[in-house]
Amino acid sequence: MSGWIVQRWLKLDQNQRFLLLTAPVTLFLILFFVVPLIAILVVSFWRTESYQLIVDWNIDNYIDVLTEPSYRVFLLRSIVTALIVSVTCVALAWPIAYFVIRYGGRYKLLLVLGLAVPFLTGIVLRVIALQGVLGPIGLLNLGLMKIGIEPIQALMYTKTATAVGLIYLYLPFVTTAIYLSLLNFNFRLLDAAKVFGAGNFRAFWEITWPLNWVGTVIGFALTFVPSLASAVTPRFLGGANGTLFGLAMGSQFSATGTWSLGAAMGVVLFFVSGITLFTISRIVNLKRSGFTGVGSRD
Amino acid sequence: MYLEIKNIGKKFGLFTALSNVDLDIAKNEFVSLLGPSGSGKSTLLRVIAGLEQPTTGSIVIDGEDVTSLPPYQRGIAMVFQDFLLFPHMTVRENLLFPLRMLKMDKRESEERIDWCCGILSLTELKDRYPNQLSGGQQQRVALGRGLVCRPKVLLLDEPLANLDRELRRDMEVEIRSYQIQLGIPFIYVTHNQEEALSMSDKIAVVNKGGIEDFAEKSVVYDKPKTRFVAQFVGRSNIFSGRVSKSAGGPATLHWRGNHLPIGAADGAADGLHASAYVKIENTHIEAMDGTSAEGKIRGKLRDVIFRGQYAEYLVTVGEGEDVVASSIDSSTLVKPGDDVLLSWDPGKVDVFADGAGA
Repeated sequence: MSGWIVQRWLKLDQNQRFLLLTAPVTLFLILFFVVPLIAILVVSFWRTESYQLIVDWNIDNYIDVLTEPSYRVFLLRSIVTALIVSVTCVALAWPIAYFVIRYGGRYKLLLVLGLAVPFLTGIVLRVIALQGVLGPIGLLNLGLMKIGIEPIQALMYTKTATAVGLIYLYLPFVTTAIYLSLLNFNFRLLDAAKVFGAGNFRAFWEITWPLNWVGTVIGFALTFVPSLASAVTPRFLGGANGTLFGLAMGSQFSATGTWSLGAAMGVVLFFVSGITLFTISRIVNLKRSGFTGVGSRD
Repeated sequence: MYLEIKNIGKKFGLFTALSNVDLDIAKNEFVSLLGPSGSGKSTLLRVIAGLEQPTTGSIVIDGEDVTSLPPYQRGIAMVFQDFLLFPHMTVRENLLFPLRMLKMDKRESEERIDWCCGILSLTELKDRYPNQLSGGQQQRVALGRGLVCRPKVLLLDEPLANLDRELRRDMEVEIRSYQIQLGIPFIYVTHNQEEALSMSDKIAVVNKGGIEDFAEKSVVYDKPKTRFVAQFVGRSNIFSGRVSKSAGGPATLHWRGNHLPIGAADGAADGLHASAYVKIENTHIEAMDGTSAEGKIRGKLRDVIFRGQYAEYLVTVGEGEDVVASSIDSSTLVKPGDDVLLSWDPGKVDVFADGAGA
């Protein structure tokens, strides 16, 4: 039996083998990623009435999403939050990744594995635990009051608290992306830069930064997209005035039962993410990234 | 002197990488730092470049003490073993980099790049990225990047080690010609004695963080200053024994019942043990045909290794020990299995006293 399989396998050419090997993953992605997304797209053009989906093709949901002032505020607030969170994450992750690579020595892997520690528990628990630090009777403010300092209002159920929470959640991803990039970076190139006239800062700016730009951008996208859609973090940390688009979207599927409106919001979110990723891909020039094997040898 | 390296020492923690290194290099000299791996030759180069701070000593380039200056203020350039071209820049941009750092104006920069591309045949490749170039082409760009800013000194760290043999030989000739053209010192680190011998004016033999010998290459080759140099440069047969020396007369070495002529043997004293180094090309082989065997070694030819331009004769003497003689005349009338005699010109023997207990 197995001999028969081996014989058939040997008869296949490269393309056929590739198809066969990728078939299970492709099927999985179609079934659980592409089909649900199409379903969302379809539903967004339907109507919901009293918790019932009604097949009645229209674009009212989109008009609602784009004209209702509160949704516009939520969307804008989400975009701004996601931008701030992603930029901050990149700014924090760079020194961490750089330090681990340059000075981690043989503990490099161990230090990086440390980034995975937060994943030992679930996201809801971690966000709620943050409440215990940032909230009115949280560790931070309680501590400040104990030593006679005013508690920081800005951290109690505010947009700032949400941003802090999101930074905390996504920092490990960005750090890992930049770490992996720096791991493949040849630091001896800096010797060359210095010999040929660059000071420390110039060498970083001319060599290290552009050659790790792709990793940085990947880290940025890994934070931006989920931050944009975040629902759990603003739900527990954002308070009454901190509602984000993702949270509003989530409630369409639960409390209010307006699934088709929620679906339309999802499509809008998908578009914003898509535009962002597209813009990012345009500012990355793979030839300039130092990746080998890009561009033909003519 | 144009480049003065004075009493340089470098320690990494408890490890002494360099100690008491002194070298004076003239403006038009091509100097090779030749030594085994781990000898400290690359560290010395990095100290000259300013990539490592020396623990002691100073570096003076063209009258200016640059010891405390960072690399980019020393007016030096360097060619690295693994090229270290900037992968995100085209050939042109790589060549432009040192000029940009010097804030050279655009027109002059373009002229320099054209000049560089011209002498290195890079004109066609200007707009390619390093990963689109072959090893030899990358080497040219690395060299070009070193030359384009007209440095005061060019440092080369085993630049040919990653190239294949044929390319290496061509590049040796080219590198030497650029050095003559530019009239600046090239300091060339290598562990390959053929490279050092073919290109340099002078060779500094580096061992265990110190300079064993620093002289014209022919002197280093023909009259090695220390036992290490004799061992490392060229290939030698080594004979160890007791020295007999009479005042004014030539010395002899007692070696397995033979009295071998070892010339003046300045390095050895009468009655003490010493080692005689005879280069394989100075070891003559002849058939044993009744001529006097006085001062010669008897042996049996074991094998002949044909090397192209010359042949090596492996001669067994005593118990399974081989002595190698090489000759450009591969038609020498001896065949494996023949009894042969080995001899040499006593003036071409290097004798070093063996240490106590040796």
